[in-house]
Amino acid sequence: MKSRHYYKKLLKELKKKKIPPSKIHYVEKKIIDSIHNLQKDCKVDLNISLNQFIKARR
Amino acid sequence: MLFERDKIVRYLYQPEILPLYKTSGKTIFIKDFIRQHISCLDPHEVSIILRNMHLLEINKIPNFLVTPLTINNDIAIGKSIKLAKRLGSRSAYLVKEKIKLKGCRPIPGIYFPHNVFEFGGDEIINVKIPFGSLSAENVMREILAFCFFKEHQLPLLQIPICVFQYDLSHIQAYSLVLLSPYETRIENQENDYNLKIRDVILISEMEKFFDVKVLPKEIKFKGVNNVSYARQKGKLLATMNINGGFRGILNSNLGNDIYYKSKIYICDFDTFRVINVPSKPTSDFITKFILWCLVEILKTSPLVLGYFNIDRLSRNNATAILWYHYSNNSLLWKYYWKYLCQYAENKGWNLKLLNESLKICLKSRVIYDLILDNVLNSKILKNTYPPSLSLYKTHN
Repeated sequence: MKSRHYYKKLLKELKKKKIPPSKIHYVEKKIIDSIHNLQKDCKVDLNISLNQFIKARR
Repeated sequence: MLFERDKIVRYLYQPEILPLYKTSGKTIFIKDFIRQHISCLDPHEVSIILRNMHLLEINKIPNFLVTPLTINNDIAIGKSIKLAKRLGSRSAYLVKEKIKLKGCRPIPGIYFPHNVFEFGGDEIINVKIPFGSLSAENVMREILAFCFFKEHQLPLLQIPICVFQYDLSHIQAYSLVLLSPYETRIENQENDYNLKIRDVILISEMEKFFDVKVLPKEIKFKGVNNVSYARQKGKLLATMNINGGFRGILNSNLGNDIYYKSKIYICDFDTFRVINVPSKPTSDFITKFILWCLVEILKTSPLVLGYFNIDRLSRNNATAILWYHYSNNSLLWKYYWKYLCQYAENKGWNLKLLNESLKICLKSRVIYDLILDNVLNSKILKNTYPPSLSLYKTHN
């Protein structure tokens, strides 16, 4: 998916910094859990595109 | 102010092509309208228009404009006479004739929420305005902006040519007719890099944790020289503001940017104001002035990419973090502030005072409320309605 472009770029940067995959996975999981909790308090779906969000706030 | 969002939102959705109908009322030449309604404006605003009356000498209009037109078929007389393109939720555009009818959809009894921030004020006030048409003051402020932009040689795309006065029992409702060569807004070209909100949160948090940087700094526009956009717009807004011109919060939104033949234009001036800028401003005036400048530049800036959880932060700390991220990544801010300081210095203003005023303004409640929209954060996500309940309709 095109939205994976920056995620892949991130992984590439972390590889350059020699961050162990296990640590990346651990931190990512914590963040995903916090996004899940954030979603419970939001009326807006966090899966919408940035464009949709920007227009909704304009 | 409470209002029924569901009730209003259904009026926002319209087809892209709309029939135009004749309706009852009268068409008024700009000069005649000015004579009737000039008392709407402050004295120095009146003098700007009076100095530029020669620019508004339009005595002949196309035949089809002799009778007021509307896209509201509830007040139509006879069949549709032309088809027009939808512009926003209350205006229409005749592509071949290059004519814009602003506020040509009066719907009595329906009101729209509106934000007002007065010069010298300390909070944004919510009011309601009639939906679908303009007031006499709105029309006068559009004319004021035209004259002001001409005086200061600012780029101008639209020329007011006449006004429709609708005949609607006890309501004063107007539509402003303008010559406009192009109406496509730059917001149609916003490039969100195919990112979802959740992607921005995840990547931004990982960036902070591991001290790397991969996300673009801010939203850019496809097919546009983005550096040129920021430079031109920053210069335009700084020139406008230093000479006392301000658009008002809602009209400062990026949806009013037009990029045409490599030049940036702004439009929609129905809440345009001109304040008297003293030759030797006091520090109190400069602080109020900078606050108004900040309000409008924040409102008109492209979104800066990043995410911050500000749930446990005080208002001042949250503002500080969001401001740091915004001011370091917004190209528009960099150009705007550079030009504003340059023009202020040319006028003999104390630059140290300007920067001190900026620090004072960043502690205000108003700036906190506004900057929440410049960088994604936990508070704004929790306070956002789904797009289907948004009160904003793109212009085209």
